[in-house]
This record gives sequence, structure tokens and C-alpha cells, in this order.
Amino acid sequence: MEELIEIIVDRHNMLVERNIFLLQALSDRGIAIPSLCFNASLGAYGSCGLCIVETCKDDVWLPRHACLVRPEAGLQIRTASPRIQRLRAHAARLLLKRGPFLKKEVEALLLTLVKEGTDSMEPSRLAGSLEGSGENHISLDKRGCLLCGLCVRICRKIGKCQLTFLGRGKSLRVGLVSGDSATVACGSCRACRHICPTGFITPDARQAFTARLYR
Amino acid sequence: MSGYIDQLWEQLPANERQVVNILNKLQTENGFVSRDLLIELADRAGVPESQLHGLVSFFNTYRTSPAGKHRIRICYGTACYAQGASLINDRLVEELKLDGSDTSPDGFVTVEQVYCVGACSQAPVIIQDEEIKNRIKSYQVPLLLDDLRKKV
Amino acid sequence: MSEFHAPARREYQVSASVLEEIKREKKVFENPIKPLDFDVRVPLQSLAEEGRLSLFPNISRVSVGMATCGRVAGAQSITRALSERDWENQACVVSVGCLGACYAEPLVDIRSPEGRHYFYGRVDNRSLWSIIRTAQGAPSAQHLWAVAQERQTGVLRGIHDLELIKLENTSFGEFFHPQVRRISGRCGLIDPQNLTEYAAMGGYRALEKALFKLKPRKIIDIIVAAGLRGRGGAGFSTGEKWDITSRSPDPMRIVVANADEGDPGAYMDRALLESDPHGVLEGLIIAAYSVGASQGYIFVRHEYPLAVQVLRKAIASARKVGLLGHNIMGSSFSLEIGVVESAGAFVCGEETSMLQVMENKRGEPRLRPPYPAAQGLQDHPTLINNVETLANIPWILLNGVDAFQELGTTKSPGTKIFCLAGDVERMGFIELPLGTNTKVLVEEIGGASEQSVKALHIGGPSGGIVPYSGFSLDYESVAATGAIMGSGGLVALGTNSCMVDMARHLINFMVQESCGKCVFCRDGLPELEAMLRALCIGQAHEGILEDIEELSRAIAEMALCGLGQTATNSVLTTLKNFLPEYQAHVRGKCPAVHCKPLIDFEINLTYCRDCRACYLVCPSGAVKIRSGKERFIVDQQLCTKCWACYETCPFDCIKITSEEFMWKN
Repeated sequence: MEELIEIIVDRHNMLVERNIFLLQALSDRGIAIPSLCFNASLGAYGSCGLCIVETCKDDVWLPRHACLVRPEAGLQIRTASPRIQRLRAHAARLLLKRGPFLKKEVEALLLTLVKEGTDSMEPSRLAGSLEGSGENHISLDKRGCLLCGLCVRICRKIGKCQLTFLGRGKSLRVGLVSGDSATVACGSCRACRHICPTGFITPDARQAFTARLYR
Repeated sequence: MSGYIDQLWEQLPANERQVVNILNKLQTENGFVSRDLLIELADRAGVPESQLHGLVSFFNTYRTSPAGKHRIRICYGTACYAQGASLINDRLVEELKLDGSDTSPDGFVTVEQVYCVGACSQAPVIIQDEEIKNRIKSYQVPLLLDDLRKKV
Repeated sequence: MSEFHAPARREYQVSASVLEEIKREKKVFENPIKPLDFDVRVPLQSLAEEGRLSLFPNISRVSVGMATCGRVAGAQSITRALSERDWENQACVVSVGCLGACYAEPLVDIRSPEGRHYFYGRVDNRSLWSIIRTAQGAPSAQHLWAVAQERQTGVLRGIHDLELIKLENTSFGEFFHPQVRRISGRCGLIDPQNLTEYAAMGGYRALEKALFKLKPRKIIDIIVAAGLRGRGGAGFSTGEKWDITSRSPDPMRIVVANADEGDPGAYMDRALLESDPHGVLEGLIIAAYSVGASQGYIFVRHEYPLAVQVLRKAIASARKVGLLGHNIMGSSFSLEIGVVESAGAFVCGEETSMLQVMENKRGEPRLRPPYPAAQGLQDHPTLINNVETLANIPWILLNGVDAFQELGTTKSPGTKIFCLAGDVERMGFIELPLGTNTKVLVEEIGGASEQSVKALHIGGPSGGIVPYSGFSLDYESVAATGAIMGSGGLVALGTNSCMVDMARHLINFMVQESCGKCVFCRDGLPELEAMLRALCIGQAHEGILEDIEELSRAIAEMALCGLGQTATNSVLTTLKNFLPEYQAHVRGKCPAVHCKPLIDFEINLTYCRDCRACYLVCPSGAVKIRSGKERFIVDQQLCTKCWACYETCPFDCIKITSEEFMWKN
């Protein structure tokens, strides 16, 4: 029986396992924190920036990614506050620029988060930047990918290890490295397609990921 | 399998066989990292090929295609940009049929943008191999390429 | 964890019986002149004696500064000219590193057999003859900058063993006077490729002491007591890091020297590696011994090819004489050091990013905890220390904790190497006690005047920009101003620098160097950059300053690693300290008269002599000649603000303004 420790979530006491990510612990107990890049068996990643909560240390509340917090006895957590909403709104707005997304739930989630964050402060502030500061440098064939890395991670874990991130920074993209020999070719297991939160990998990885390091 | 990677591998002491060390050697010696050698390296180092694609694209140093025989660097500093550097670039892309790559398909010229050469009073400026050419107009591009071809 | 308690032998003499055996086996002594083809442990004493012959010859020794700064300034042709000359056994020519006065390169130091050093700075073809004269024993006063004497002839452990006896170039004296070059004292005096010279200057004595007089636990206690803090930027207690690594249950430990110095404007690690590599190696070997490591690495930037070359040679020569490899100096401690070269990524200076690259993966930072000291390379406890931090270790072991703490402050003891650049007269790498006032660095050493310096940019792109004033250069005081000490790079920004443009420039750098994993850094920074650019071109939207601050704070709070967390420091510090400048940009004006779309060039005809230089030099044809009173006029539609007319006009007729602000030299 795994050791349980007590934490305080929104002023309610809660018993959770020690070796679990906070995001998962909360989700298991019915507290839904928005997240797009977390997967229980692939672990925490920290890319999407949506699962923000606040934890208290030395009387100071600090925003943290819930997927990266390991519970300690007596840890205090807040799952809602104006700051949390604002920060989630920033992340959601930035992710929306990488859209439109095939799965409409994703689009809806992000728009809701933006609106929630905007309502808690003057509307004029985020209005200008919601349109983006003009240019959207992300090329059309990469729109719809959140760069959450779930496909890369699952291909590495159970697949043929054909997917990889290419480049870095704002030009980051996912590429498919098609092997020459039959043994290293994509096995068409479709794990990537199933795990992709936005539906980008349609109909398969080969057609979705056009980025190549060698032509 | 050329055995080239094996050779490099054996020459290195055991604690210096990190992939970056070998990639640096390939880049210095050949001017780029070819896919064949990358596959050999993945095999020797015991890592998936895709991992090396990710690693190579992460850094600034590595090229994945050989640079052209000649190199034209267009200054994209503010003065030159305002004086039509992008027009020169567009004309070069057109003439050389660059189409997404920075090197012409026949491997003749590599076109790059650089930032402020410091010769702003001579804008727009291009550096053809090591020679700085000033006040270039886009209609001069075909003549420029012609001269390069005649050079040999 | 076992302590190294095997009886240690100080000097390894090849016994007669062994020699007989070898003679029979390898026929090595057939030709007595032929070098031995196996490594021999050579006693430190012998190395030091050989080094003394090299450092203090009875002929003139001409040393030319051949570090990267020297080479860029043209030292290679000077060295070539001097080396190819037939001195008729009157002089020898040596390539040394950098003395620290990079502005004075190429720098030549001629040592007379009596221990007198003649310094010539900014050497060119004209001063070459003076150098040759001096080397021939007839010191020439022409072009001479300074003369110093070894306080005790034949004793030189660092630059402080030299006493200044004549100063021709006062600026040179002002540069060195306030410095305390404890760690960098040998730089510029020693041939970095010559291990024996290092031994002659007291090198590897600390390693000897560590291996044979101290136990690893004792050494860690000493470093903890000394209070040495990491010099790479974080300022974490070095002794504590060593302690954590040494207490791990995992017996396999690794040490890595972080030489991926990425801050633009900071080059102290490069200087140490190029000018005094053994100082760093010795520190690394002691560190490995103290934490029980069996593998050592140096992770060095690809952009430092000379440092890589010098390092590789230093490691090879150390191995050759038994200072690396099996049974170092006859003790039971063994260590191999490998050099790993990066390939161009600022983020790899971050510890976990570096470890990822060393494991053949992309340099994306790992989540911390666990920290590398507990779980690092291949999950083994890995001690990662900055190059400058390691260079402090031998000094502390030889001179003691009390001596170390004589300089510096209580919380930041010791000395620090700063790299000074920007709007100053004298640039270079400078070593000062922590707690020294900025005025000493910028005005006394750098030679800038108080009025000419507007702001100080400290800590590289992760650092901050604060208004210039006198404050103490220690970790806490710098943090209190809002900046961070970082690796010690300091740029003095003059009155004509635009703070908004500077912030934009630094954010642009971070945008290019972001690894791309987390959304705040990867996508937030470009948005921030776009807003700053909008300010610089006069297209600010309402509430832009609040948006910039809000986004900067959000990125700092939620980024996953140090790069993103500190990337917006430049914006936040300039917003706080230079708000009026930002507000002016919102209204389309640049008080520093710098941002091109916001400035206008006009010709003031009062002093015009009709030379037409402006007209001829203008690349866009914006300068027009007209008949009548307005003879030369700038067409604002065509002007690209390239400054060519201003630079060319001999009579100072060009007036540059940004609304009510006027550009002043």
C-alpha cells in the first residue's frame, strides 16, 4: 500500500500518494486542471503551460506547473486565483497562435481560458495582443501542432523512434525520420495519432509531419 | 558503410566519443554532415537515427548540405535593407532557383543573409566570397552570376 | 566510500633492477637520445627546475600575447617577425596568453636576464625596432609603456611578484593599479603550452598537498569554510555542492568543468583556458579527488577553438608526466579528463542542458530537482563547476582560508574576474576583490568619466541594466539593484545608448537561443520582442508598457529553466530604471536619439563650407543640392538614417534630433 501524505487543496484536506504528480492526484480526485501535454505513462513535460496552480512556501504563494509538483506533507495549493487565470490566459493565447486545431475541444478550451483571464483584468489590455502583434511567423503546414511532444515521446517509448523535434526555439517543429531499411520504417502503429491532443496527425505521421532535415 | 565513422571512432579516446565531438569533426572536414555518415554514426553510437537528426538541427554550427562553390552574403542591416537588400535576395532566389534551400541545385552558390557588415555608406552591400561589392542593384544580379561562372 | 589511504609515494624513482628489466625488454636505451616511449612519473621538483630555465633564461625572453584578443589585434605577424629573426643566441621568443589589458594588444613583454620586464603595448611595425633593441640588451625608451622588476630575481608566481619601477604610459598603470590578480596572475607571463613553466610558478603544489597531506573530507571542509561561491553566475556555495556530490550513495562520481561561457561580453573563462590552462586543470583534478570522481570532463564552447587546442595539449602533457591518468603523482588516485566540444547553443551553459548534450541528446534542460550533484550524467552524481571557480581551488589550498577571506565581503569572499566592455577607454579582463566599488572598475580602471556613463549592463542577457552609480560589486548588492552578477561581464552604456533598443536586442538574443520546449519562453519571448520592436519604430499601441511588463513577469514566473526565467530581466530592469525613456518611445520619440525610425537628420548650414561630402556619401540620394539659401537639404522620405553624412562632415553641420531631443557627442 503506497504511503499517503496529507496536502491542503483550496482549504480542503486531501490524502494523496507520495510518488505522484500533483496534476494526476488532483485529476484522480475529480479536480480538473486544464492540461494538454501531460500523459500518465509518459510522465510530465511542462510544455503547454496550462496546468498552473499556486503553492504556498514561507507564506508566499507562487505559481507552479501542477504536473511538475511532487506533493510534500502539509503542502498548500490553490487551484484558482486571478493570477492563475491570467497566466493560463497568456499560455492559451500563445498556443492559439499555433492553431487552428482540428479538434474543436482544444480550440474551445483555449478560448475559454483566454476569456477567463481577460475578464479578471481590463479587457483593453489583452485585446490588442489577442490579435497577435501582427505577424504570425508559423508556417501553414505546421499550424495545428502544439509542440506538446506526446507523439515524439510515445514513438520513442513503444514505437520505432521515428519522430523527433527539429530545430529549436520558435522554429521548433516535429519531423519524421523515415528509415531506409524496412526494419526502421514507421510501423504504422498509429500511437502518435491516438495520443495527439489536437488531431494534427491525420491521417498519419508521414502526411502530417512535413519537416525534414535532409531533402 | 564507408568505415569513415569507424575510423574516427577508433581514433578518439573512449571518454571523448560523444556524438557532438564526432559531428564537429565531420562539419570541419567536409563542411557539412551528410545523411549517410549520420546513419553510420547512429549505428556506432547506439542511438536511433532520429535522435541524431534532432541533435544536429538543435545547434547553429551544423549544415546538412554542402555549401556551394561560391558564397554570396547579403547584408541585411538596416541601411542595406532599406536600400533594397531584399530585392537583391529575391532576384538571386529567382535566378538560382533556390526554392527553400540556401544553395542552388547545381551546388554553385550559397546565398546567406548576414547582419551589418559596417559599410552602410555603400549600401546595399553584398559579400561575394571574400570580396565586398557595393551599391548593388537587383538588375545587376544576372551579370554578377555570369561573371562568377566565367571565373572557374 | 573508501578514502585514499594507500601509502603514497612522493617521488617515483626508476630503480636499477627495473631499468635492467626494461633494458632487456624494450631496448629503449640503445640510443640514449631517443625519448622514452612510455609515460614516466616526473617529480614536481624536476619539472619546476626545467621550467625555471625556461622562465628565467640568461638571455632575453620576448613574450608576445597570443591569446584570441592578441591574435585579432595582429599579434601573429608580430610573433612571426620576431621568431624568424636570427637573434644570435641573444634572445628567445615565446607566445604567452593575455595579461588582461586586452585594449593594449598586441602586447610584448621583454625580460632581461636580471629580471627586468619591459612592456610594449599596441605594438606595430614602428615599435618592433624598439623591441628588438631592448631584446638585444639596449633597452629603448621609445614606444615603451612600462618597466617592472621581479622583486626577487628568478621568483615569479604571478604578476604581483613584479614591482613597477617606471611608467611611461600612465593609462597602463591606471589599468593595473587597483587589481588583485590572484587567480589570473600567471596569465600573460607564462607560456600556456609549457607545463614546466607552470610548475616553476608553483603549479601542481596544491595537488601534491591535496593528495598527500589532506584527505578528501578535509579538502571539502576547507572549501566550505572558505565560502567560495560559484563564479559562473548562480553564486551557489561551491563547498556545499562538493559536499552533496561526495555524500551520494552512488560510488561512481563525475566532475565536469563548465567552459560553455555563453554571455556575450564575458570572456574570463576563455582567457583563463587560453592563458593558464593548468591552473584550471589542477583545480579540476583536486575537485575530482575530493568528491571521489574517476571521470572528468571539460565542456567547452565550439566558438573557442584556441582554448580547445591549448586545453588538449595541456591534458596530454599532464598525462605524460604522471599528473593525469593512473596513480597521479604516485598516489592511489587515478583520473582521466575528456574534452567535449559544444556546437553553438547558449542554453548548453545551463547544467542540465549540458548533461543532455553529453548524453548525445538535444540540449533541452531537465526538470530540477533532482540536481546534477545528486543525479547528473547517466544519473550518476555529477559535480559541475565553472572554470573560474575551479581556478580558485589551488590558491585556497596553498594559501589558506584566512588569506582567501582577507579580500572580499563576508558573504562574497575572495576575488572575481570581471570583463569590462562598452563605452570605456580601457577594456579587458580585470580581477578585483568582491565588494569593490563600480567606480573603481569603470572610472579608475576603465578610464571612463562619470558623466559619460549612463547605465551598467551586468550579467549578460540574463542580467539587468541599472543606472550608473557607485555600488559594491558583490552578489547581494548587485542583486539589490535588480541586476545579477552573472559571470562577471560588465558593459558600460554611454549617454547615447537607447535602453529600449538595448532591451530589444537582448530579448532578440534569447529568442534565438531558446530551446523551444515550454510555451512561455518559446512563444512568449517573440511576442515580447515584437512589442519592443514596435516601440522602437514608433508603432506602440495603447497600454503597451503594461502589456510588456505583464508578459515579462509571466515568462519569468513560468519558464521551465534559467534561460526563460532570467530572459526578461533586461526588460524589467530597464522599465523600472528608465521608464521615461519607454514613455517617450510610446509617443514616438527616442531620447537617446538612436532608434532610426524615430530620428531625423538635418543639415545646419551655419558652418557649411560647400564641400559636398554629405551629398557624395549619401547612399540613398537623400541629400539634395538646391540653389538658393537651403543649399543642402535632407529628403526625409529617402533618408535611411545610416549616419554616413554625420561621420563624413568635417564641419559638424549634421543635426540629429528626435523631436525635442538632440544628439550630442
